[in-house]
Amino acid sequence: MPEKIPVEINQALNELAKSVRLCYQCGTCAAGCPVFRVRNDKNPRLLVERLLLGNQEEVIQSDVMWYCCNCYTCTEHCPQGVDLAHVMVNLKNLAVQMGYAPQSLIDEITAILTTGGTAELTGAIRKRREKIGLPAELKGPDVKEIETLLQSTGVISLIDQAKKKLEADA
Amino acid sequence: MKSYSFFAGCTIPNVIPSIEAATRRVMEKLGIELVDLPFGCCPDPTGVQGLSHDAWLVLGARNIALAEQEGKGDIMTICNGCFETLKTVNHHVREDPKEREMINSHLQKVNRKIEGKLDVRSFLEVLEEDIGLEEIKKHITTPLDQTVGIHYGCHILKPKEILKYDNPDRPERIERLLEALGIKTKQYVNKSLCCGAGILGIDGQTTLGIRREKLVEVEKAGIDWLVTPCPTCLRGYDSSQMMIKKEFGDNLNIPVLHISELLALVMGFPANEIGLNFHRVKDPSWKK
Repeated sequence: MPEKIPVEINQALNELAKSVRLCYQCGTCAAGCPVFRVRNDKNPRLLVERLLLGNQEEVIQSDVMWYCCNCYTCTEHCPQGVDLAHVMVNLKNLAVQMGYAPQSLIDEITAILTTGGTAELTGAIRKRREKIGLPAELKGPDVKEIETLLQSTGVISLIDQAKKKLEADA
Repeated sequence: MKSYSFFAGCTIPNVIPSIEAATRRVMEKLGIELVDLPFGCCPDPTGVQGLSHDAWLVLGARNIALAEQEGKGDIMTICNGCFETLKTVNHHVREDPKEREMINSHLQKVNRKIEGKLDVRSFLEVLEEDIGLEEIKKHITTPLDQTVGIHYGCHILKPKEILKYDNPDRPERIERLLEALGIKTKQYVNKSLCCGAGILGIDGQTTLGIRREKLVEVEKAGIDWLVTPCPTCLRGYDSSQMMIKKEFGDNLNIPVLHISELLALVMGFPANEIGLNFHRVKDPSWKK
């Protein structure tokens, strides 16, 4: 079921629509998109058209922005100067604010909160490091510092909200 | 001796340490001091930025602030993702007073402050601009028979206005560097195609299809090794070849190396010593 768009998200989507207003639907974004090359059901041009038409529920619940690899090819090639890669980041951020975040993103933030980084050092790699003359591990950050920053920027509550939404949908 | 705060990132030390081993040996031989600091994730320009653009800037700024306060020299990265994130964050801090204020209001809570006084450099820029070809050439002892193809990866090239590394559509800077060092390079179709890692957690099958698009062209061009400055791209192209065979039937057998690993080889470090034998696809010559 489409969800009602809160007023601040509505305003942000209106601003984003303004930023793509020069789009004339030529499809250069789709032509250069690495994902569209193998998945023609993930069309960035159509997402922009929906944004321009004001179909906000459809835009916010779309998975097309989550299929963006952030490669910047669309931004680089757009003949109208639309910064579509940045629009995709904004759409992801707004979807997260409404509680939509993919599991992989929740996992990534959880890893950063636990170790400071996205990849945990396993026993096997620790051994491998010593074998090739490296210290067993590099000193990581104080994770309390990382937690304070994620709390301060609102990420922890965003992640909690997204977790609850995923559980409720399951 | 020239020094840098060494930003190793997450993937390299914890997943592909051979790149770290190669970088440390190469830089030591070239008279460069690498200083380690308790850095966190850069953070990831696709995932973390997708969650919250502000949090991405703030976590990135914490790393730069740490280097400003406790490091030695500019920041040197060996990963495209780290390069893009840190250079972009620094750009925001230097060019946008409002963003700088927002970032510092968060950093204040952990007693840090970013000024934007350091440069963020890729190891490729350090090699070319700070050390110089003539100096590197003096240390080349073991010429290669193999011809390499370059996969630049997106985040060393784009956004081009900020990163200023090379032309994103027809990059040639790495080829020029390697050719000058006596390494044979070759062009191939789909050179500027993204590796697809950004959506690995969303839909791995689609990522696999994107990787195949490039690898079959590398194979067709008769390239021996695929070489990249990015650990995420390396990991993807190296580990996906078995799955591509299973899913699509393509018989690919293309060793994938980081540029640091390639340089370590031509500078005479044995493949085993830097851990190249831990790559999935191996070249027979790496047994030594």
